This record gives sequence, C-alpha cells and structure tokens, in this order.
Amino acid sequence: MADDREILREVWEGRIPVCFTLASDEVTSDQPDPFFLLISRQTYITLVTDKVQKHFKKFTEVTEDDEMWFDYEGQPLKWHYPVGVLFDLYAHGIVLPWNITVHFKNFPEEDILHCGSKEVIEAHYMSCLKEADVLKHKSHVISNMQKKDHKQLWTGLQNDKFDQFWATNRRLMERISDEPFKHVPFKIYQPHTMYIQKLFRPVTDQAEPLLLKHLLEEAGPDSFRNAVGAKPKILIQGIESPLDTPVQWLSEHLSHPDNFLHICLVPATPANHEL
Amino acid sequence: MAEGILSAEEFARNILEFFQVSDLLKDGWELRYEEKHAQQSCPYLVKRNVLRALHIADVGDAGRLDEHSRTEGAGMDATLRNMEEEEGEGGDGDEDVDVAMPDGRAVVAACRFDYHIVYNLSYSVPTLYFSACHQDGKILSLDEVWQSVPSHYQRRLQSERWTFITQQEHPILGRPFYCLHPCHTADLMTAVLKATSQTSTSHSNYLVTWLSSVGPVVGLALPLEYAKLCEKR
Repeated sequence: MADDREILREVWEGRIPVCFTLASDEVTSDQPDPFFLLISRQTYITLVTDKVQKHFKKFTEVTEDDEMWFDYEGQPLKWHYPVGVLFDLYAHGIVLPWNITVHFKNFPEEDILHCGSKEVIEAHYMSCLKEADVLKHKSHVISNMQKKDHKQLWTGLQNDKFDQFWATNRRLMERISDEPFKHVPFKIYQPHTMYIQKLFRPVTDQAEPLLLKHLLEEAGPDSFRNAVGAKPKILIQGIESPLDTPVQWLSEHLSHPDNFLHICLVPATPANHEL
Repeated sequence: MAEGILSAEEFARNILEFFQVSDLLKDGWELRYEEKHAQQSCPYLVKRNVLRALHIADVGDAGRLDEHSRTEGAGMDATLRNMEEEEGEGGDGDEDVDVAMPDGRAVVAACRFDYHIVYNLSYSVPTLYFSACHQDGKILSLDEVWQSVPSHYQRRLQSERWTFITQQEHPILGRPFYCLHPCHTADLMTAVLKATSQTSTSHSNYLVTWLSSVGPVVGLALPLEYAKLCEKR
C-alpha cells in the first residue's frame, strides 16, 4: 500500500511552466502573444490546452478538419504520453519555461495519434489503467470496481483533485493478502525510439524485493548495459531515484495516475550535468 | 496457462506454424522479428496492401448505417485480393448491396489495409493492428474505420466503441495504427475454444481460431487451408 501520503502529494503536484507559440508559418494576422500555462506532470497535454487553442485560433485560419498539435524543437509531441514524461524525455535540464510550438495544419499522421475529443483521452487513460491492473492484480481490483469508481479516477485526474483521485486509486495500489504486485507496470523511454515494456516481478522466487537496478538490468536497452562512458540519467517523475530503491515501492509511490512507472533514460549531457 | 490466453513461447510457435501454411499458399503474410531486444526477439506477422472496397458515408453518420442484404461476414466490402478464399462470393459485391445512407452521400472507396499480428505481453494474447488508407494515401479517420466494420458488429461497436477499435501506438514500430483492443480477447477465446471443444492445451489452434474470430471485423479473411492447424493431434 502506498503509505507515504506526503510523497504521493508531492508527486501529484509536480508542474511544468510552458510557453506556447504559434508556428510562424501559420500566422495570418498580427503576431500573437505567446500563451503561458503551468501544466501538471500527471496530465495529458490535449486535456488542458483548450485555452491555448482558443487563444491562437484568432491569429490563424482554422477549419473544422484541423486538429491542434504540438512540437518541441521539431519533435511532434505524443499527447498520449503524460506531460511529465514528454518533458523529461525531450527537455530535461533546459532553462525554463518549456517552449512549445502550436500547429493547426499538416497534422503528422505518421507520428502522433489523433485526439478528436476528450473521450479519446479518457479511453486511452482507462485503457492504460486497466492494463496496469491486469499486470498487478490480474485485473481483479479494477474489474470489481463500479463504473462510478472508474469515472472518479478520470475526473480526479481531469480536475486535478488529489483526494478524490486517491480515494479510489488506493485500492489499485493495494497488496492483496499482503502479496506484492504480480508484475510491475512500467515503460522505459529513450529519445527517438519506441518505449520498452516487459514483464517484471517485483520480488525474487524467495520473496526478496527487487530493486530499480535489477529492473534496468533485466528490461533496459542493451545500450544501457554496455554503455561506454557516461551512463544515461534515469528519471522517474523528473527525479533521479537511487538504483537501490525497491521496485514495489516505486510502483506504489511514483507511478503516474495511469498506474504505470514511466522511466526516462536520457543522455547525460553537459547541459543536464550542471543541475 | 489460464483459460483463453497463451504464453509468448506458444505464440511464437503458433506464428511459425501459421507462416508455414501461409508460405505454401503465398497469401501475402510476412514473418518479421522485433530486432531491438537481442535476448528475446519476438516474431510477428504482417500482411500488406490488402484492398477493400468500402462504402463510406460522407461524414457525420458514423455508425448509423442501416442493415443491408448481405449476410456474409465481410459485410459492406469485398476483399478484392484473396477473392478465391471467399468461395464464390467473389468479385465486387457492391452491386447487390442495398445500403441506405441517412443524410450523407455514399462513396465507394478503394482502401488499402495493412495487418499486423503482434503479441501483447500484458494480456498474454495476440493483438491485431491495422493501418488503413485511401488510394490517395490519406489515412482513414476513426469514424471511417468504425463505419467499415460489418453491420452485424455495429451494435457491439456502438455500446463499446472506445474499447473495441481505437488508434494506438504500434508496440514495435511506434507509429499510429488502428487496433482491435486485446482486453476482451481472453474472454472471447475461452468461449470460442469451449464452443469448438478445443482445450487450452491444444495450442496449435489458438492463433487460427483467434484470427478467424476477429479477422472478419476488419475485413481479414482466412483461407480454409489454415483449418488443418486446428485438427486434433
């Protein structure tokens, strides 16, 4: 059980200051002011940017078929990854605010999913949540929840309500009969490559807890194990966790609202060494 | 293994057996390997450039298409290639299809589908991914994909649309694909295997049984030759 509520709250309250600018080739009238937003690490970018769309629509021609999308330094941003993951993966160590470009034209079909409505985001979120519980509890916990409980998780996330969210989420973080999770839901991200997802039990056959370093050795990319020179930085919720942290503990406390541990491996460049 | 699912090893075995049949038939499946992880290279199957003639209403009426006269599983389209597998249904079936489209204009679109069969580690089942685009290369919208689902699946699509077919990131290629959600597969397979008196230990049946159950939803037909993989050994 995630028993350190203070940590849960601190993680929940992680924010990133973002400065949105309209793509210069789409500006049709006066140069628009940039739009600033403080965005939760836990949310999805398309869930919180209605105001951004409203602001920039005035300065460009937008048709019904156009869908807003974002890029950072030419990299289209996958809205279905949590905001904190996108930031750690592509912008860790930069001078804030995070400068993101807004587009309405030339949707990059090969790179990002469409996000036609809030329902798409909710469906994606619920799908991740269910998958996480399949891994942890063979879906027993989430299947025994009522629809209103599922809804409470979603609205808790959508409206940034920690207490409302965790009132239900604590059940998904429970150890049934004191057993650790069957498998730990996690994804390992690196820039310019598809994330890694594997099965990983948080304990050995002798019920000894396994640690973050075991998970990375077992599931991390080959390049991580064989790295010559500087090892990559390992970021979870923007934090470099000690490699001796038990994976069960990480899963209970540092997961995103979708109940997955999102682990970013980013090159240790001079820029982020300075932090 | 528990009911309705299969292990990664069993999936790989199924894939290779399936591919052996496919190779003889020359029906277009390719065997690929996930190159990344040297330790466990998981095989998957790809079938590209399958042409489907689809009736697509002109925007707006997603899913509210009337029942029409064809009763065969392929619904509103004829798979133009692989015609021999349809046992005389053959050819372009549009001429005897009477589809009443409320409001929108009906357009017959020749669309190109690619199908991928990939193992899902979390659910321990195979998952069907597909890409779909018009002749001009423009990808089908989610609404258009939902419309292309045969009429007798439409009611289920309406009640479960967000857990049935959605756009997902392909787990190996990392690009957007459409996907038949794996969350219901184990239940489906438990029911189908039971109904056809197969047990979960006769795993050589699983992939073929699964594909013949879900394939028709997205226009993927399976020739009868594959049935020999389902014979009791």
